[in-house]
Amino acid sequence: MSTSVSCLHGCNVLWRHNPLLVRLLGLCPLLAVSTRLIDGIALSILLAAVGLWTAALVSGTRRLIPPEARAICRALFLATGAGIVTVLLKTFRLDLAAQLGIYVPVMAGCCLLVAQSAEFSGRHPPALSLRSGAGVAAAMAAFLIPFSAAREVLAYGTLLRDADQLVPALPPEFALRLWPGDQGLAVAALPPGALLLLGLVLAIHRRLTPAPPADRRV
Amino acid sequence: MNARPRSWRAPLAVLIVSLFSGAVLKVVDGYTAARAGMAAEQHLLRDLRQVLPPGYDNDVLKEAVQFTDPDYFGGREKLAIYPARRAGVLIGAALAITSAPGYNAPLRLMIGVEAEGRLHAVRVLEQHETAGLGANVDPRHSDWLARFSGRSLSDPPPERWSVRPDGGEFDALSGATITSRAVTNALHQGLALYAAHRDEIASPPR
Repeated sequence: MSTSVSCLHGCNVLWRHNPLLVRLLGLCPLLAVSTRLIDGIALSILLAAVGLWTAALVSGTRRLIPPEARAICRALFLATGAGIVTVLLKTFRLDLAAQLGIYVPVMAGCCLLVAQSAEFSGRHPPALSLRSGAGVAAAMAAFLIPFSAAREVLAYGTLLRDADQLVPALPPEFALRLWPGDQGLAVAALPPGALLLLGLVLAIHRRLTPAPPADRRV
Repeated sequence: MNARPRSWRAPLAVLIVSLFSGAVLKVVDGYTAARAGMAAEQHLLRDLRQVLPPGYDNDVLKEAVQFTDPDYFGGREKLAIYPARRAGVLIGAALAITSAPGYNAPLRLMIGVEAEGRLHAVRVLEQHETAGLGANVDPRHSDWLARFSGRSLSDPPPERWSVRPDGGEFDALSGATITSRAVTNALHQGLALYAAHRDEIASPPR
């Protein structure tokens, strides 16, 4: 694959065919846990871990598992990955676990399961599948991180508040303050604000993407 | 295609994958269980340190007492009280208490009380109130809870121990009367529960 083609492919995955934007996967966790940049970052990391774990296992076992059992095995691998990151989060980042709560498995279930194409991991060798898995993870991060950053700025006028929950070395009061005080548009932190913002992003996305993509598979 | 020799392969694959999943989760859980327990304990100790009067020298966690009270969820919910002592003398206690429902759900609070019954400090352990409004009860967002420090069952008198819209003395958080009411009433109840159960923790366990 030449550089320009893979670059184009990258743009397509991150923007044009972004599973969160095109198919609106994972709306519920999106509204619930994208109020702070740190949540967006943490969720992106966790979903990337689950996605890569699943892609690796599915393509690694593709010769061993008969086609009719692949879907359920894939779901099992994914559930295992989600279970592992949930346990690890509870062990090492309890505050963050309390914040993200059930949404890691929810997001993994409703979003990764659909976004990562099953046939792809099932048919291709692990290296290529991992790249596709990484693409899905990057697409989710490309949406989640700017979106949660925008909501945090609008709602609190800060960036990276409570970052100590992810990086304990930071002081608890750490935050990049864009204006003094803690007041902003409270609605941005609420589900209605998330919907408004999402609508705005979708409008821009549809405007910049002329025709609906003929092939909706990522 | 001959279906027969393949018919057992799919269930077998699912079975093996399930066993693999179970085994992996069991191993991860085994490795992390002790650490997770420690992490939870560390968090509890941190919360206790933030609400208890300073200078205690006992093992607060070890001396914690669980009890029920007919006034607290009709005696159906257990309540933990953590006594703080200096040289064996009670200097205060902390109660982990669940409030009546706020705007979205009950709030879990850690209430620190000084030995003679004054409120020392409060931390919010868990809340699901509206971000930007009710969620501001959390000391991370506002100093609203600080106004209760130093208050006791008789200060203000019982009929004034509520939020202003209920005829009480305490201003509610703006836009969050329901959350403020739940918290204010929970604090009053916490003080009452402390007064009622003080004797049970007055002397160190033998």
